[in-house]
Amino acid sequence: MEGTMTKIEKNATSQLVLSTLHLIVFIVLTQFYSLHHAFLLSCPLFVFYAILPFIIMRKGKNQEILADERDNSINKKASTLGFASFWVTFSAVVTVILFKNGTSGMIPVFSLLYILFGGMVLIYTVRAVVTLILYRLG
Amino acid sequence: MKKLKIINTIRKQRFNCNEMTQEELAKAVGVTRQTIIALEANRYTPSLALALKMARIFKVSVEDIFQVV
Repeated sequence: MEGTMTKIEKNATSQLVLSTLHLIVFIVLTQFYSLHHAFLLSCPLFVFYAILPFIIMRKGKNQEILADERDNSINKKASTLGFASFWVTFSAVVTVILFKNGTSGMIPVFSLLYILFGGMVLIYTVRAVVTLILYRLG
Repeated sequence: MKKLKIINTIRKQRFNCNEMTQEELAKAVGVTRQTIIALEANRYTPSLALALKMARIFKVSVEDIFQVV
């Protein structure tokens, strides 16, 4: 591979690893606990989504430039696609719920939490994958 | 409309400019070395500002570095 990874690439890789790990932890927990409890037990992992970028993006001794115009352009495209994937999924899920329950139907509050937290993982995963792909393409 | 392909002579210009390294060029124009690698491989088209900075570093015109194919 040419050169070393940029900070943005490292950040994307760590986010991808984290979201994959999160999904594995959640799936493993569902084998021992109910879906509801597995979800609650895996929630503390969300803290790492907030902390990781600060750890990865801190300035190194030699690398003064953290992100240039190419990095920012890739980051912008990846973020846009990440959020677009969330909205498409969210709209699809809401439409399915409305068709299933009707407009007067109710859904548990926890279903919304699942959608939102799942959406967070989806945004991070898509953004990380798109970032890594765009770095390979140019 | 067909997208224009822009090629460059950055590698050659670096060589002409006292065999400047990618790292030195990256520092001089304020980008990462990975961006210089992507530019030399024609995988990335720079902004006008970056192209002008490079022209100033190499002491040539922008057209000497970037050509539309």
